[in-house]
Amino acid sequence: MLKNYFKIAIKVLLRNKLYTFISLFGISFTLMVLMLASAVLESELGAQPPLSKRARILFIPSFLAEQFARETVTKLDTTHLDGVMKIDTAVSTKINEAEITSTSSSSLAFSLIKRKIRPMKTPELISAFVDYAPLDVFPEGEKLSLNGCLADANYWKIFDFTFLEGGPFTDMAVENQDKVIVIQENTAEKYFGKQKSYLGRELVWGMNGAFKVVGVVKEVNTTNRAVKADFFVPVSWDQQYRSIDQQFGNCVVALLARDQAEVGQMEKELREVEATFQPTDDFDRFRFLEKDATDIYAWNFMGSQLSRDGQAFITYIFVALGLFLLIPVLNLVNLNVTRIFERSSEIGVRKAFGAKSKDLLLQFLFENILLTLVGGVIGAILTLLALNLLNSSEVFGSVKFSFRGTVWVISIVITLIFGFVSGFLPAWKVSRTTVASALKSGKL
Amino acid sequence: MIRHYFKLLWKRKGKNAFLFAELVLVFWVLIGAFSLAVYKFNFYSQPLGFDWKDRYRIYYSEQLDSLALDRMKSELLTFPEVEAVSFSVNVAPYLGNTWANGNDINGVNFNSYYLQADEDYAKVWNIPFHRGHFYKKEDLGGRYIPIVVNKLFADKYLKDKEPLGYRFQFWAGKEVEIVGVMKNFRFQGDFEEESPMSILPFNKRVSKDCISIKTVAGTGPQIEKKLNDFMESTLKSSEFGIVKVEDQRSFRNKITYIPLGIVGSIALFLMVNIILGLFGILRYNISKRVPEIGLRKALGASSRDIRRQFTGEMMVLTLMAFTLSLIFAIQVPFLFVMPWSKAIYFTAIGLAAALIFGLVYFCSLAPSHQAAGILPATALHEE
Repeated sequence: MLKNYFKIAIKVLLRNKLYTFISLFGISFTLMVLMLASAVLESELGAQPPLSKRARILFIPSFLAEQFARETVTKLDTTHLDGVMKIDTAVSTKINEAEITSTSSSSLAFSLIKRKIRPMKTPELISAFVDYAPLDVFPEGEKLSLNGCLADANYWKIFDFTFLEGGPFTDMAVENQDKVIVIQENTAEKYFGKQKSYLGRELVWGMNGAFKVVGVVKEVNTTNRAVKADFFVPVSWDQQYRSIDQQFGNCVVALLARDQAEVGQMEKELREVEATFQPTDDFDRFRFLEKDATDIYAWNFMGSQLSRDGQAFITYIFVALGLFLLIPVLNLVNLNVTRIFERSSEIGVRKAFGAKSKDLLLQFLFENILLTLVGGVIGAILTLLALNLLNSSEVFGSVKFSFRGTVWVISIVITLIFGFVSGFLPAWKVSRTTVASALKSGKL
Repeated sequence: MIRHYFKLLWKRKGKNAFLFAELVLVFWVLIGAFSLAVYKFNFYSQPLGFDWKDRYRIYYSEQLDSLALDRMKSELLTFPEVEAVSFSVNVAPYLGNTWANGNDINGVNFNSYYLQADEDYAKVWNIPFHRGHFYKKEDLGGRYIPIVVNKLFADKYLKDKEPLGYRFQFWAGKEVEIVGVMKNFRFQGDFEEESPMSILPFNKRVSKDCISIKTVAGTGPQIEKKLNDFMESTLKSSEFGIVKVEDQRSFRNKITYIPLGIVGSIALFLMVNIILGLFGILRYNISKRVPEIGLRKALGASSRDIRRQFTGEMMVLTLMAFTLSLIFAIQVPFLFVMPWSKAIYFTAIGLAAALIFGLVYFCSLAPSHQAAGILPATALHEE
């Protein structure tokens, strides 16, 4: 049966090569757009190492301090005492919480994290790290601009990096300020030249001296700054690590909830922690500006430091992709309707000999899905080419998008849905035509 | 003729409405895309007024006295790769920083970007001069501070005056004399509009914290390591940055390419859909209107007439969509402030129209040809 459908489909598609070509062109181009989008979204918003636990992670990239307006209220009390008027003045300062006179926001300081964040109860793990430490090195005389991340031991438990060799540094190494470094595979290759093993080699980190490689991690495919570093060193190397009594610093916090449902409780506890802050001379109220991984990505495109726009961003993306899908689907439906109606005579004959509407529907759907699958293959090839171009042009920085694993599955699903949606309406319409009208209009 | 086509289109308005909407949309997107592209590439095609290849820029935050600077310069010049060295303030080609100054003390109301640099600046950047020359060391001690301006400055503010030797107060109380007029100096970037620009020597207070270096053509990237080591030993710290101007240029240009790429991709996507929609309608027309074609042919219409009718109908549809989009597009320059001029906007409308009419015409050729090939005998037999 399927073999017959297949034979008929090939014959029909080859009969009118121009239209087949145009349909294929439209299908493959649309599928390329969708596959490209899913490849980019999968690397940015998918749960894959080192962000496999992304749904349980809450970042605190910044912290906001606000000062309210002060209003001086002078109260005059007049009383008559022994016939002499007496004036009592009382001056008081009132805080007007509705009006904020100054705000300041920045990353957190280590001392603040130690005092306020570390004692938190709901998170399973808490990590404090510095995600920005630029370094220029000159292996073999050529400049290599690197960015380092200063991490603690929990960092490696929250973010599940894939270690190609060696392993992360421990709490001990952080406390002792050991000169150890975890390096990303490509950076290692560029810095040391291609080697079998990089363990035990030394990288000179500016004025801090030579650091010994203890681990090599796989390249990450995301732009999330928390995990996108070329090398990782113990956080104790940060100059402010041991400073006390500071609020603003350069540190990012990642909190890991025990499970996804507890993220809300972590947010609640953060609000409670904020309430324990004593007002200082400069500021009256303090707020943690926490964001999850999706909010952080959305922040590149919309919203501000204060807002969390991950959900809105995802909604916009899907509306846009829906439009991208709708326009070509409608066009293809138009094309298909004609293609199928041109075969009225065939339909009439088949119906006259007892074929059911269901059989015809199935046959035409099969034909359309076959065409879409061919388009999907071409679309996948186009996507690979486009990804290559995108990666080499570094439009999105040095992040490399790849087309593998889940993206393949998503692409096949998209292709099948596309074929089904664009083929169903015409197939349904044509399968419902009556024998007489189909036979009459057709030419035999 | 057109009225007849319109009538035929209106008869099947349900079928044509979607393509019509797509056409209107694509006109709007294309007008936007072409405006941006014409605007930006118009600047790109103009001369820059300096060279960026083989140039390096070093920025440091330390305050150095002139003795230390002189020593640094002469030491840098001993490098065999280094051809010229110049100190300036932290305003440089492709950097993104700008300093501006303006006044009307002289009865001439000017407003100009400026930077301050030593006498080797033109040598490093190879600035071509329209008239005069860049200030030399001898010019510095005189009563007037020498200044060079770009031609745009002279054209805009000194219309009927002889620019060379013209004296005015750049800052209140600081009298300057124009010694040279540069052809161009579009230091903001390849895709940016040129604005009035002046270059003056240093005064005492500004910090000379930018070094521009011209290296011999074909110098490899190893020079960066050499410069890095030299700066580290001279400044005794790593508080400095070395930038290859070429890299900075591609970074700047990317900021222009990315929005152009996005708008262009959307336009391309819509255009592909127009092709799809067009073929859908034409195929429908041909298969549903075989009897009509047969009848017309039997009554003496030539293949050319049939071909012209099918192409013509699509062209009329496009024309209608273009008219509708134009009704809205024409109001934009009057309602909003556009970054580009009206001339560019109307050029963009013309380009969008040419592209879409061309596309529609080209794509309707093959199906129309097919329609024209229908024989009256088979067509009429069907009925």
